[in-house]
Parts: sequence; C-alpha cells; structure tokens
Amino acid sequence: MGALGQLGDHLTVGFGAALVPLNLLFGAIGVTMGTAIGVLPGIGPALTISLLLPLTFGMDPVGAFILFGGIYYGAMYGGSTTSILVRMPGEASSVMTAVDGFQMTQKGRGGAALATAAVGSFIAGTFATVMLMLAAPVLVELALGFGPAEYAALMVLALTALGGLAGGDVAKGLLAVLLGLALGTVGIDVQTGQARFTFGVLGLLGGLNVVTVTVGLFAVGEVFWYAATRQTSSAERAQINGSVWLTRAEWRRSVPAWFRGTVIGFFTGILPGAGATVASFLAYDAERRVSPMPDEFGRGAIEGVAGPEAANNASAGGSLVPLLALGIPGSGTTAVMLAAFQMYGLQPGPLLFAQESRLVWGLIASLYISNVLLLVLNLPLIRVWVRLLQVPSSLLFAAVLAFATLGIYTLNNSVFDVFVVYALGVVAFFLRKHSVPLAPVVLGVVLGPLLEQQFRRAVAISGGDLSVFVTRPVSAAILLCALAAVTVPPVVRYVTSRPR
Amino acid sequence: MDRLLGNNDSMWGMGGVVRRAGPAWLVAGALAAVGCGGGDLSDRAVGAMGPTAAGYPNGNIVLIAPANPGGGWDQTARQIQQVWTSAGTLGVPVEVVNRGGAGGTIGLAELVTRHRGDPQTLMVFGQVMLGAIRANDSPVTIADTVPLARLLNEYEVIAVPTSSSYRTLGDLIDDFRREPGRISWAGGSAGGIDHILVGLLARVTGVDPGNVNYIAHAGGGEAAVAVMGGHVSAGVSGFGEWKAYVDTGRMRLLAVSSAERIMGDETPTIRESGLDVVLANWRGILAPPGTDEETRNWLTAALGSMRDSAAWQEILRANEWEDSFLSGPEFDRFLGEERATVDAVLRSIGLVR
Amino acid sequence: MRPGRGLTVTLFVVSVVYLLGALRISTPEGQYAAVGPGAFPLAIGLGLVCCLLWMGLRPDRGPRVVVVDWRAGVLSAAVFLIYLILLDVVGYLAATVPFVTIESRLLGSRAWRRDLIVSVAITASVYALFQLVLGFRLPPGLFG
Repeated sequence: MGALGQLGDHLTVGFGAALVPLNLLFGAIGVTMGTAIGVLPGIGPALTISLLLPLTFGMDPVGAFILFGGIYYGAMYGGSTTSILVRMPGEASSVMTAVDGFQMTQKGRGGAALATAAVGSFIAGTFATVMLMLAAPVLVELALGFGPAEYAALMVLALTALGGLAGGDVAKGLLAVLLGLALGTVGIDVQTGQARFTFGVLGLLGGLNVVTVTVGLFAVGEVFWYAATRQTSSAERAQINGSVWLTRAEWRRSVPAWFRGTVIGFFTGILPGAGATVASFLAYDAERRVSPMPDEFGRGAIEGVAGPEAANNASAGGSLVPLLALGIPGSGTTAVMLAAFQMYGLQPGPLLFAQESRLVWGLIASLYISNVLLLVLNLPLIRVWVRLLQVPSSLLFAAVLAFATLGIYTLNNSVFDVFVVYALGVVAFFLRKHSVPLAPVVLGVVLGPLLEQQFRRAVAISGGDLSVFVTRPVSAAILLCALAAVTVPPVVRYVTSRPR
Repeated sequence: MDRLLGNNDSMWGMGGVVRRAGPAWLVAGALAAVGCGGGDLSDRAVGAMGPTAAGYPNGNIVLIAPANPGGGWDQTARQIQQVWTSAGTLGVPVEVVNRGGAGGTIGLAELVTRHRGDPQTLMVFGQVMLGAIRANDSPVTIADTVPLARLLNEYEVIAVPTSSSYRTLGDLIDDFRREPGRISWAGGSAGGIDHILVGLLARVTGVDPGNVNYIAHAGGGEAAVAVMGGHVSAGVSGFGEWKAYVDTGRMRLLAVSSAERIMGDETPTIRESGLDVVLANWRGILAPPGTDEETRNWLTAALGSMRDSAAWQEILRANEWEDSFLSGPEFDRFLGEERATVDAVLRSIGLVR
Repeated sequence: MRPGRGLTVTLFVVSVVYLLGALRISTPEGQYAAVGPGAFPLAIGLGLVCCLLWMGLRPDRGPRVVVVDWRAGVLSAAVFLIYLILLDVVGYLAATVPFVTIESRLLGSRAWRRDLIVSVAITASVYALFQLVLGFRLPPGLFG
C-alpha cells in the first residue's frame, strides 16, 4: 500500500507538471507533426526530433518530453494511414498493415481500418507506459538475458511469417523472401568490415536502408503499376461504404487482436535492436494462426490491421524500457531521445524510478498524455483522411512520387538513394506483373541482416560450436516454436483432409 | 540546426545578441515563446568575427556530420553549431547535415567530390574515419582535404560484466594470453577504434591478432547490452558512453586508455597494468580541398575562439571530453602519425592487406 | 517463350551472378570469423538458384492475364527519371511543380489547370514546412 501510495504521489507530481495548457499545446503539436511525418514516406521520428532538439533549449523539459513523445507515438501511428488507404507504407513497420488494410479500403471499410489502427495504437501505447512504470527492472532482466543465440532464433521464428504472406504460391513467396535476404547482404559486413556486393559504388557501402526498400517497392512500384495498367484494368477506386467507424462485429474482432498485438509488440520492443518491424511481422503471423478464418487474411481481415498496428506502437513504448532503465538506445529514435534526456540532466538508469523527481514523473505523465492526445486528434481526422480517396488517382500518385522523393532525399541528403528507390520501383513492377508478393521482400531485408549478424556472433562467442542454439533453453524453445509453425499446419491439413 | 525559427536569418547572433524573427507559424511561434526564456548555454562573451577580405563566409556554413543522428560525430557537430550560433562567431547561420554510413567515408567522399573549393561546407571527422578509410578502401582520404583542427579526445574503456571473475585488467590479460580465442570482446564496428584497442592489446601481450575473438556491434549501446547481459567476456567502448552504465550495477570498468587517470574517476589506466597502450579517440574538423590559406586561417581562428569560450568548456565537461585543441602544421604532423599507427594495427589484425 | 519466363530467366541470371559474387567473398583468417562473411550470401544464392529452377521447371500454372500498356508505363517512368535528374540541377521548387503537373497528366488527368494549382500549392507548403520551419535541406539548385 505504501508503494502504491508513493506511486500515486509521484504521478500527482508528474501530471501536475505535465497538465498545463502550454504543455498540452506542445503535445498537440508533437502528435500532429508525428502523424504528418509518419504519413510522409521516409521522414522518420529520429531526424525530426534531432532537428527540433536545439529549438527546445531553454524550454521546460516536461514540455519537450511531451513534444518528443507525441512525435514518436504519432509517427508510429501515422505510417498506417497511407498503408491502409493507398497501399503505400512509408516505413517498414507498416508494411503488414498494407496487406489487409488496403483490402479493407477496397471493400469500403477504410475508415474502420484507420479506426482500429488508432484505438489499437492508443491501447498499446498506454499498456507500454504502465508496464514501463511498474515493471521496468524485471523487464530489463528479461531483455539482458537475450543473447545473440536467442536473437537469431527469434529471427527464424519471424521468418516463418512467410507462410502467411506467400498468397498460395509457395515458390513465389520463397523467391520474394530470398530476394529480400539478398538485398539485405549489400553493404559493409559489420563483423569483418568487408564490402559485399557494392560493385565499387560508394553509396551502397552503408547498405540499403529498409525505408528506401519499402518506399521503392510499394509507393514507386504502385505508381508505375497504375501508369501501365490504368487503361486496361477495370479496377474501380474504392469509396467508403456505410459508417467510417467500427461496426459491432469489427469491434468484437479487433479487441482481442489489439491485446495480442500489444503484448507481442511490447516484448519485442524491450529487446534492443529487434524493433517495430519485427514486432509487426510476428503480430500479423500470430493473428493469422489464431484466427478461425485464416483464409480471410490477405483479403481484408481486420485482425491483420489491429494486431500489427498495436504491435508497432507497443514496440515503440517497449523500447523506452531499456532506454530509461539502463540508458541503452535500441533504435535511432531512442538514441536521439537519450541525447535529449541527458541534455535536460535526466540520467537514465536503475535509480531513475526511485527518484522523486518532477522530471522523471513528468516524462511518464507526458507519455500518457501523448497517447490520449494521439487518439483525440486522430479519430476525427479519419474523416479527413478517407476523403483522400476522392482525390483523382492521377494527381494523388504524381504527388506521391514527389513526396516519396522528398522523404528519401531527407533520409541522407543524397540523390543516390532516390535513384535506388527508382530502380526498386521498376523491379517491383515486374515482380508484381508476375504475381510475386512484395511484403516478403521487406521481411527478408529486415530480418536477414539481424539473423546473420546474431547467428555469427553466437557462433563466434561459443568458439565455433553450433550447438549453442539448442543448448540454451530460451533459444531452443523459440526454435521449437518456429519448427511447429512450419510443420504443424500441413500435418493438420493432411490429417483433416484424409478421407475417412 | 539551420533556420531555427522559420526564416533564413532567424537565429544567429549579431553582435552577440540572438535575433529571433520569422513567420508566426504554429510550432515556431509556440516554441519561440518558451525558448526565449533563456537558460541555454549561450556565451555572450565571444563576439562575432568579421568576414575575410575575400568576403568569406558568404552565406550559411554547412557542417556535415558524417554519421546518423545520435552518435559521437553528430553530437560534436551539433555542439559546435550551438556554440557558434549562440555566440554569433561566424556572423552567418550554421547548419548541420547528417550524411551517415561506412565509418564516415560517404560523407568524406561527398565533401571531396562535391564541395571542392567551396569552404562553406565543413565536416566533423575523427580517429574512426582513418580506420574506415583503410578498411573500406575509400577512394578519397584525409590527404585530399584541408584539416583545420583537432578539438577533443575521448578515451576508451575496457569493461566486464559485474558477474565476471576478472577483477583487474591483469586477470583478464592473463587468460587472454593463455587462450585468446576464449576471451570474446564486444565492441563497435570492425576496424573501428574499439577493435584497434583490442588489436593493440594483442600486440603488446604477444597474442597473434588473428586469434582475437572480436565481436563487432553496430554501436556502443549494443555492445553494452552484450557486456551487461554477460554474453561476452569483456567489452570496449568510449569512456563517457560507458561510465554511465557502471551505475546500473551490471558492468565493471577495468581500465581506461588514457595516459593518466581521468580526473574524478578511479578507473586505472591500461599502463598501470604494465601494458604500454594509450589510445585516444579524437575528433576534429575538416575543410574541403581547395580551401585557400586565408580562409583556413579564418576558420582556425573561429574554432580557437569557440575553444576559449566558457560554453565550449562546459560542453567538454558535460560529455567527459578532453580538450585537445591542435591546429596548423602540428595537426598535419599528428594526422600523419595517426595514419601510420592505424594502418599498422589494421594490418596486424588482418583487416587490411 | 511462355508468359512469366522472362522474369524467371532474368532473375536466374542475376542469382548466378550473386552466387559467384558470394563465392568471391574471402574469409579473413582468425577465430573471430568462425562463420565468415561469405556463408550467408552463399546460402541465399543457392536458395535463389534452386527456387528459380523450381519455378522454371514446374508445370505452367496459367499466369493471370494482365494487359500492360507499355507505352504509358515507360513514359511516366521516364518523366520521373528526368525529374530525379533535374532535382539536383534546378532545385526542389523548380523541378517539382512541372513534374507533378506533367506526371498527373500522363497518369490520366485532363484538368491541367487544376493540377498546376495543386502542384504549386503542395510544393510550396512542403517547402515551407520542411525547409523553412524544420530546417531539412532540400536540393537547392538555381533558386535555392
């Protein structure tokens, strides 16, 4: 009771510091900007926060935290909008959302898809903040126990999500993921410093950015596809049928998916380096596996939006656990946030939560407030977003090319990256013409480098002993899950389809 | 940060006064309202320098941070920007542009190929870039540029998990000497400063550098996880970055790579263990090729005036950086020596043939 | 050649080149390279070659019929390419306005006046937001 009372006192202090009109204004600005940069392909929260950092010198730290928190969560949510409405994810973590989200839009349920993403993001962000506040020390133990072998095993498990993305043709799904893995090997090898498949091109030394690949394959590829098929295909642009809000049945299907996605995303997020994209893959796959109607996935299943969208926001919240409890940044954005915290004299570490500091609890309160503001601002915006569908395709797609170019250019201030996006757009066109699915390519690009580096680290640490993956209990358990994920469905299908 | 508050000329010192103007756009306006409250690190004692006879600088100065936001080069660039901007030293706005990848060699290539003879663009660089140039076989090198000054040193630290049985560097080195392959070292990218330190340790202890079990990570944070989780025997990273992790109770510092103990810290030096290794991760500033002598002198003076400011000294203290200002012919000589050392170590580790 | 073969053959050639590249990655000596930098590319390359052989040799599945208007596709892709090249030469503002107008016409719009107005509006607002407020550095070009 004493501890709870103390927590209450802390929260009172925190909310007292955060809930002033000016800070709420900063929160609103942050959420709006975050959503905007999430909607625009390429531009991410890390760059935005680092650009705003000098602007906040001399500002009340709590106000700055609310601003940054709003940008971080807003960007995670904003990425879903273009995925759902026009099948153009702006970041890799919303690729999974594009699969079923866009199908929902075509069925006239785009508004519902946006709503399930918004509410899911809110639940995920709030849950993550509660866990951060109550259980950070325990969670840190869990995260540190994860060694290279466990990471490698987790990546293998995430790769089994391929089964749900192949769209019926296993060979083409496999081809797509292998192409992604191959793209992921371009650049300097971290372990040895060797350049691989760069053909002497300087711009390739740093490897292909996942955002570049996503925007090239989806946004640019989509426009090329539209240009070449608009007069020959009869596909009509989707409009909204019925309510833009969730129906009773959609609520019923979304709620469990939000919670599953939140848990998966949060625990993936606390592992430094695993990230929101891996979380969204795992969440999508989990939804497909527990669904009584797995065949509906890829054709507009609302769980396929609710799960991954909750997961990528929960993962953003989860990544704050190692950041605040240990001072370890797990991603580009958290690295910039760490710099911001230190600028305000807030030293992350195990003692952080014991401190009765206005700063610490102001930060926690600001995370709650950012989440609420995100929901409050974005639910009404759904009506505005769906009107995007009334913009003529020609103009919309021309503008998309310009936005994508801008976004990719700002990633690294480099025109080279823009040409890479162009080339990937052409590749995507031909893959699509031969009905090779594109989402597994992103799966390969994201998971490949993580799997390879962690695998090689694990083997090097063990002195070349490959058995580490099965002798370490957690790694072995994850690998067993992966094995089951691949073998159980075919066996079940065989057994149930056998004539009696 | 260029154009801080929404206009071309919105935030740069004029005669030591920070002028803030610009359209009352929502963010800019709201931020400015609070930002004006002061409390920043601005140092009004250092005044503006007039332009050179040739009219330099002519417009914004762009500072390339050849790394992604958040890292050491990015921090250094933004701190320089902060001091120059608030003191109004240059008389023009300063922008920072991130141009990450490949140990800084991508930024270096851009500076050399696209900004030849255009000293409006400068770049932060450091020890790590020397290694990356060799390891990546970069087509352009530091010799293609006009180095301005070294600004700061950061030292390396060797750490083990708290649960480790190694209490001193001597204990660790004994086992390293006996069975080098069994000691796994976590650190930053291959060929980087962390790797070079382990290579130097191998050299002075007589271990074949080819047997060093070095586990490269994308950065010091990732390597810290490997150490704190007890997944590796030891780890190497920057002192300022890892000192904070000691408070988590999961990491123990065994030695620091400076010549003398760092003030206010009890960690012994590597030398105290009887190994003659001193290694500094220095950072400095480069100008593009074709920068004339007058401009070079002007820029060196601008850096010197920054170095003398209280604001810069405060930044050094806050980041655990050591003031190691060096410019002119001495700096050129220093760079030559550093290149030779890095080369020799990379060769002995087998990263460069 | 049956439909769909062109892609399979092209990718097969690319995969063989990739595989040869993987074989040329040398593993530095020493213990730390227990699994070298060439191992994963080799496995991926072999996987690609096998997968494409499977696709090439299996019975035809009757690809879905998509009629492609090559002329329209190539034209709009070419205009985009010209835009990317011009971006660095004439700058963001000067390149984007004509590009959006022309590209939307290629994509089927006939209301060029509206397109021009819209492209000026979005280009200017993006420029204001990113270059002036946030301080991103857009390609400067002639008017930067």
